[in-house]
Amino acid sequence: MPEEIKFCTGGGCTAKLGPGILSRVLEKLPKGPADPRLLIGYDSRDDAAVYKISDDTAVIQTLDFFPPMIEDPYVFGQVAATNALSDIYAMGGTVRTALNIVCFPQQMDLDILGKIMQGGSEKVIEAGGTVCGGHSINDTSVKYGLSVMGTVHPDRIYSNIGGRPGDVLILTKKLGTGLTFSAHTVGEADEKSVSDALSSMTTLNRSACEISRKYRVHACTDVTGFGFLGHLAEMVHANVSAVVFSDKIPVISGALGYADAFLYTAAGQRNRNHVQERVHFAENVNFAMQELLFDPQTSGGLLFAVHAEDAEGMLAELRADGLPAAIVGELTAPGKNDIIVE
Amino acid sequence: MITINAMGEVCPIPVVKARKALESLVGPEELEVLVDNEIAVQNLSKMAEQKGLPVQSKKLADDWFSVVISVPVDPDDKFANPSVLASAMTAAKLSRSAAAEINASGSMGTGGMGAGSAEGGSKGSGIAGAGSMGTGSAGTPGADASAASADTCIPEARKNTAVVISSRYMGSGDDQLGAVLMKSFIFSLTQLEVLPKTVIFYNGGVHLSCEGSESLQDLKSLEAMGTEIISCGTCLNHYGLTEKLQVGRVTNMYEIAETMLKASSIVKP
Repeated sequence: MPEEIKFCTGGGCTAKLGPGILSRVLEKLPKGPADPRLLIGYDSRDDAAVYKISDDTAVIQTLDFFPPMIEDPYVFGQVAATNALSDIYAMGGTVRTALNIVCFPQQMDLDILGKIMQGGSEKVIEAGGTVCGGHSINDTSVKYGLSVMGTVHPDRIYSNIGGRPGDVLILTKKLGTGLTFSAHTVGEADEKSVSDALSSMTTLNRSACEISRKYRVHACTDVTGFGFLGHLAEMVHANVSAVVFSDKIPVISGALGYADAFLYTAAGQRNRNHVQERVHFAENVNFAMQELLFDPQTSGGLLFAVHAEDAEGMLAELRADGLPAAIVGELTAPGKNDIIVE
Repeated sequence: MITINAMGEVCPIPVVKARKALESLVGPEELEVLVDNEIAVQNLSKMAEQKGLPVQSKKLADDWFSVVISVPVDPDDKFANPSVLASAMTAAKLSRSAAAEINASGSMGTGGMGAGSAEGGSKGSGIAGAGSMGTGSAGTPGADASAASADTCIPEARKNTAVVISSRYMGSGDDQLGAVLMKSFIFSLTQLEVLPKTVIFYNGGVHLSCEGSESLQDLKSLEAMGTEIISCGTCLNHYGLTEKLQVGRVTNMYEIAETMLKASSIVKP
């Protein structure tokens, strides 16, 4: 149902505050004493916190919401929920409860809100969790998301920096959702790409996470707004670098073409600005592929660093589950460049 | 010159508008695109580079930028030939790794990018398409946002370089040479993969950000790409230049000290 939700227009999509503005505020905030049970979240500016409540249970608390990037309210609800739930899976957790976060113009058709929340609720149920209510605000534009609570064994939290040289990188979803929806806003995306992107964005990372539990995963992150290279950059550090096999990257069919047609996003360029000095592209990696690797993903897949001996088995199981997973690179001993794209 | 107003438009709209306009141009022609944020400047520059077209940008005011893309003079122009252009761009890229090789007149930079040779030496100010990809302005507080992105915050760029210019001459010995070197240095900054976050002018350095400076175009280019240009207010006053500042803004010693202390590296030519 096209145009059911007014797409954000002009400069109105101020979905996120600029990093400069944000950090100026954040750095002045008071901090209480560090709680030893707070495992993740005290120093970082994550949108998730992990709190240990007993020797075998830690609680993961997270939230995520944003304005629509698609016209269909039901699908938008699914995408927003899938995206919010993903934070739990990126930490290796299990979804338990969720609360709706809703901003909605009172004068707008309430059926639209019903469809958004129906899409969201279905995804929480699919994740094995329960929607327990939420909070709604009368606002000038639509925004939706979830606050999610999950659990994880404190010793089995996936870190994003635990990767070791020799580990294999596995990505569980295709890249290119940002480019595809950018093209879609100007009427240049083909139907197949849009439906590919939508089905990818509404696929929970649940099964990927559960499958990965059987293997020696050393690090994990979900690929979202910073793009593939932005999130990979969070996995590499002084003790480990990465090599990316660009020809192995799973891609939404039309995405490279949209990059060649210059339909890249502002966020993609910010991602490029942010990480490019840590990345070396080999000569054969063309412009479109570079843009794809910087492309911000909405509800993207999980990126695992897994023990090399386990990689083929894990990949086979992910693919048998219907995921377009691929081995997209490997971690190496620290090199001159943090990330080399071949 | 054709002008497109893309103020208030969110990417990819400014690029799409520019692309459509370029398709209808047969040249020789210049296309000016007006946008309200630096990321749009970078995205337009990125397109021009991919198309092999010379591009220049400048900041006209806060939230107001002009990006000018040139369509080659005629189809037989050597720069319209992609292979010639590609090698010229490679040369320009290589030269950026050794800034000193960009000669004092800046002509290698402009020529390399296929910019109008009439611009030649005196104004080597084109923001080279290749160079524009390499801006290090991730720390820019761009208030626009992409609906495609779900994350709430992009961390600041890792590098926070401040360039401190305290004299209008580079080095000591011969001031005439020093002036030429400084002009070349500032031009070279515009060509770097990663631009400095801030350029600070104090004492004699403030002459360079004021009326009569030969580096104004280059500094405006840097500013358009997200580098902050600040000049010491006390110094402007001392030299009677307060009314003559042409690029960036006035600052005070508190901010100068704070910027220098916070910088991860300080470059002093």
